[in-house]
Amino acid sequence: MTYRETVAAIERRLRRLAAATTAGVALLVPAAAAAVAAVAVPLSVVSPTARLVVGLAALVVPPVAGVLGFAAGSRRTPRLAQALLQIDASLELDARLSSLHEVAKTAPDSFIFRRLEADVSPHLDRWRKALPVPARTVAALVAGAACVALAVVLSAVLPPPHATSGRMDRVSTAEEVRGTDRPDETIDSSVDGGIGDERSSSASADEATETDGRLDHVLADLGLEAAPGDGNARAPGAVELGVNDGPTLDELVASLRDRLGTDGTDLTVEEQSALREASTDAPAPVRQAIEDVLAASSDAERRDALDALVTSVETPEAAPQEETVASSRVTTEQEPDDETATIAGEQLLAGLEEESAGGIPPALEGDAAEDATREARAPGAEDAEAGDEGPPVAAEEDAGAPAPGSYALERTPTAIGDEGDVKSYLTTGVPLEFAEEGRAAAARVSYERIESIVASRELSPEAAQIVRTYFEAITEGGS
Amino acid sequence: MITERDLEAAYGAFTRLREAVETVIVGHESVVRAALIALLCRGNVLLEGVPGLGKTLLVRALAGALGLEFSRIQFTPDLMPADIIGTDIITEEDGHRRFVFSRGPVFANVVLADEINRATPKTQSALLEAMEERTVTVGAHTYALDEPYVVLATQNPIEMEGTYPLPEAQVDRFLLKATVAFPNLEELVDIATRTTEGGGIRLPEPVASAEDVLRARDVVREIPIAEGLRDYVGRLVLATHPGSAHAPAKIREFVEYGASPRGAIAAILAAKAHAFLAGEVNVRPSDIEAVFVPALAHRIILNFRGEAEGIRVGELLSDVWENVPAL
Repeated sequence: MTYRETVAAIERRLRRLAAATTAGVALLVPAAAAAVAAVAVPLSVVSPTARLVVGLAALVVPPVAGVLGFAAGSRRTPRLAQALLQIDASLELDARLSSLHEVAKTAPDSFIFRRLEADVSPHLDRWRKALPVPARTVAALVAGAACVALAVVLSAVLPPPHATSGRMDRVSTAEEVRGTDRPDETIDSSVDGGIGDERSSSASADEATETDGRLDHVLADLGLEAAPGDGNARAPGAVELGVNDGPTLDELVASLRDRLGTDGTDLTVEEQSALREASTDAPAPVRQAIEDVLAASSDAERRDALDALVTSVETPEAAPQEETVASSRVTTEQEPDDETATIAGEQLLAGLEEESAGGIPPALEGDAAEDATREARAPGAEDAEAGDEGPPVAAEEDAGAPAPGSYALERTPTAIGDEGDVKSYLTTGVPLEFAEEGRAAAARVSYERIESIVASRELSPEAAQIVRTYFEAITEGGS
Repeated sequence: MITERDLEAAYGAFTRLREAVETVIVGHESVVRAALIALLCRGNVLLEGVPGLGKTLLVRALAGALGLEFSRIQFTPDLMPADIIGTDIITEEDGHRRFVFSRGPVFANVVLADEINRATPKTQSALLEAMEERTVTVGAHTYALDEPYVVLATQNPIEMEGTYPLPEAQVDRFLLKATVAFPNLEELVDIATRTTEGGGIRLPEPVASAEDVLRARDVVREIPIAEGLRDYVGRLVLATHPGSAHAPAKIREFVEYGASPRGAIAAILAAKAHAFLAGEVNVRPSDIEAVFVPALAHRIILNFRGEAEGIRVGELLSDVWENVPAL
């Protein structure tokens, strides 16, 4: 190998080494960041999407950065003089190779060049051993690759935040359901199927959905049980216990009948407005009945229309039970009273008792009925320590694995005496305690559990107060 | 461009020159080598040592071996610049009187400035132009000095009473500073034998000419030094400055000013000459190491603390050498 060939080879190697060193650093920095993120993400409350992004970023960004670093490093001018001196020292050439390079630039025809070349040539084959790959470059490349692998593995293996993957998945799925229309893949959508697009076009329903969604987020952020699905598809008990819910259509109709029966005057503007608002969420027969009431010109016609409305509301074919209850909310400023909540809860309890006895409400026949049944059982399933008394309810029907994209239903293993699975009607995650065994209505909010939850989440004082207020509000003052 | 023949001839001449000087001078290889390097690099040497160590003999032997004109100037406090460089005197020729320049002892090829630090700075400075420019200016006339020209100055490091330390500007003009050490027992006995037996010490016959020296100077300048080594010398010189990031702790502590750029030039030139004298055609790291202290020692100015604590500049430079890596 001649001197010139050797110098060219040395220059190429220097470029590669510089490129490898730059690539090592460029790989290591983002890879280390990805590894840290992969460790930190499962410890924080983020969605699975964020974990996916971290995983993909760990897989893509460091290698890309490494390639870019390699390209940038190979463009750097190598420090040939230092490298030649290093080779001289390594091969004990007394700076002859370096001097030869110097003479080659100034006097390549001189006798000094020829003499130096003659001295150096026998040793040129060994120059590579003087330019090994720097240990730091190897370390950076290995560490970078290890960090990438670590980040990818951690992103794929580690459980989601707080080791409650199911809970996070449900919250996430609920978010996805809210954001997309996939009516046949989730319980939410199967329940929604009873009311179709009418519900989604309802402003009041959207508001309720949004409010409940926010509450679900709060619960999810607190690591508590969130109601599966969106606000409109929450459990019947949760609907009745909602703090902002107005009177149901039944209540409205009942009050109208009472009032018209006594004074016989025409409908007030507020009553008409409430009826119109209720009709937006109602099934077609109910809506038609409401329109008849509004269109009635005489007192007698109005009473008949009201009777027909009552009939249509009470008729099971009008709408699935949950949707009837959910869609019959009205957003007047009238506060729901305990009695209303209890009546609604009892109606739903009756429906579930019938279901648990083997009967399926006519409106819930088929898949929608099964899904709705699951939906009715889902809340409170994880609240096992709140009461394990009583036999599991209707466990056999839900033994099968959930369909892809649907919720993993959780059974409530408890029932309270003859009242049935009272926990199914409570908003999921509400810290309740049961004063007396066998009395569903005896359940009341547990302030100790609230404080425990608030303390365990390390919430700010303002957030903690919001949580307390929320729990008190949804339990109407604690019971 | 020099040829291989030029190199061989120059190397042969200086080998003979060194051998001739060494027939007279016992030991002091480093001092002889410093004188030869100065001759090869068109430089001057400051010899430091106590009296009686053969400094004057060395210079005379060198001049004799080269067949060059030699002059000796004994510096004393009352020595005047005109005593060195010469002066215009009135002469009468054919009935006409006119000024004629009378050349001083500085007009020689090899000048020994003995105990240079005993003269006043004004007189010392009279050598500045001759040492650097190889010219002497008197009145309106500038006279060129014959090449090769070399000044070898001595100074006594012990008797400091009544001396005038050389100004930094003048010290900087010496290519090397060589310390003339006391001979060991073997060398001392050899000196006594040569001096007291036979016809005594006889100066060598000329073995090289001025042309040989001038040709050798050309050869030396052609000797290549690698870019990495030039960079190394630069870093070494910078490390002698207390404000430099590469300066060792002792330099920061005891040095007022570091070596000037002339120091780097001197180190590289001297390294080339050192490689030439070793028969090499390129500068090696060992050449730089050999001339590093002689080329820089007299250019380092200690601060008050360094002077007060008696710090030796050689030790500081050794510290620099150890702390500045070649690669």
